[in-house]
Amino acid sequence: MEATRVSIRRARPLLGTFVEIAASGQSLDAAEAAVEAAFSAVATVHSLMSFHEPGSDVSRLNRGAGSGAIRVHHWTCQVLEVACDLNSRSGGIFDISVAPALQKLGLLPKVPEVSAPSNGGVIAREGACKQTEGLIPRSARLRARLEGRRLAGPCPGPSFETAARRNRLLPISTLQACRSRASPTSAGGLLGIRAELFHPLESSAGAIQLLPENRVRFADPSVKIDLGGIAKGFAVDRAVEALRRHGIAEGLVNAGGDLRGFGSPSHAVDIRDPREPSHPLCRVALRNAALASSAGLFDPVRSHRASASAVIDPATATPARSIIGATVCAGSCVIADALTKVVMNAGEAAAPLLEHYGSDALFVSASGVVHMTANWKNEVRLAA
Amino acid sequence: MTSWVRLTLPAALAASISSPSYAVQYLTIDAAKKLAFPSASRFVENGGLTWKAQAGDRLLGLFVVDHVIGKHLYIDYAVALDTSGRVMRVDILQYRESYGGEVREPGWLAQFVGKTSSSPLKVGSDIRNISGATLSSLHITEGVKRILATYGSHSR
Repeated sequence: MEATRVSIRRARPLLGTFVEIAASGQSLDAAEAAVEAAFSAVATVHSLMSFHEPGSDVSRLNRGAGSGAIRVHHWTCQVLEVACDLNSRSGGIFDISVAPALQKLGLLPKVPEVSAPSNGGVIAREGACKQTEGLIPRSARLRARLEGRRLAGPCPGPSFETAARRNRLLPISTLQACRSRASPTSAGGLLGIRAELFHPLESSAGAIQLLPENRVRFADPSVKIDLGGIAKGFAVDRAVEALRRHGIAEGLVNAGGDLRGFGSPSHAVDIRDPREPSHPLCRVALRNAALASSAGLFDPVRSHRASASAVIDPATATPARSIIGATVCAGSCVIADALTKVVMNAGEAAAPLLEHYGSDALFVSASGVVHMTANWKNEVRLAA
Repeated sequence: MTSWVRLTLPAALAASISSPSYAVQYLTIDAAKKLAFPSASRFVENGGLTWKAQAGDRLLGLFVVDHVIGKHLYIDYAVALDTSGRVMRVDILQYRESYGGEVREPGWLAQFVGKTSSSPLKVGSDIRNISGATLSSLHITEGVKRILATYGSHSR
């Protein structure tokens, strides 16, 4: 006989968006306690990885890791490991060190000072909307990247699992050696149709050194990181972990469209039409998996249309343009979140990386064509 | 090897002010009060949609309900302040958004709903989960700041 379950659904403003958590538990109190723990995990990720809060690990690193190793929370270390691994595997397309480009565009403020006033514990990414153009000069590193060497293709670097082993030096030298060994002809593999656009790069894997005991050092003081392209997915994964730890068998965590469901139910997820965000593009069936989308920043108050994308093409240091929206389905939300940025920039050429992570994707080109991985087409229904 | 299929979309739909609205009730005011102040024995009305949470005569904090505009519609939320005027928690009570549109192949949809209806958790079937361009919660943040400015010094 199946035990009676109580299902609850709660929402809070976190990570600059609305985070919604649904859980089914043995009792109301048990479900509430689990959801509270899950929100708490999301809030912790926010306080560690916000670009805007002066006390976050990210701000501490951006201020000081260029001149010496800084110890961070092991969650921050985990995200950096995933980010560096993805940077390597994507041939530099995924890059958390594009913060200077985002600052140049006014999408990120200058690096917060320690003395900046706290906002009273209220969490927000509203700084992302503020005009801060010209506060930070384009870094030498970014310039070097723009003038830089041609990229070698994807390399068979250490697996994610290997790289995720903590408290040891990330084998950056291995990654770099591996990259330099990669044959120039392999460049077409991942970069494919956009290969001509890519003249990177020094990877963030080279710029960010992960040291034992959760210490992190940057190659030079001009390196600035922004985890906005990956932390939300990581937060969703930590929330799911918290729910499970509290005995929740079925639930869903949705952080502003980066979401993950677990347990037996299949979840219907509408994907916004990037051309008209108040309408669905399609509906996806999601079961025991994560889904993340990237598109323009949708501010429903100022405009019903999505504005410029915050996804930066590391090769040109400008927003990705030819693809206006991308959605990725993966086993974990951190991977789904990060891969949307790769798909936004690489399009169909992201196929090997999607395959490596057992992921599916769809993206919408500016010309109004939906490209969808063939495996996924039975799970996706287009809107009328 | 991963392969791709391509589908050409019809022209983007014109924005329609009459698009159906979508609403989720997360918490009632009473439920939110009890979650924010589980040890409170009573909530004393304090004018407007504000209450003093008390355990006997001891003040635990202030509970404030407010709304901010979403797209065309209001989002109701609650803020719990402790006795030092700090924000303890912010809960969304009701979320409303103009969001609508049909999904093709209703037969397929019916099949999908059927699959989930046997499940004890109906998260996937009767609830709209939306992914896409990220919605900003900026207006909630601004609303919380207004509440702090108004009540932050009154919760002691």
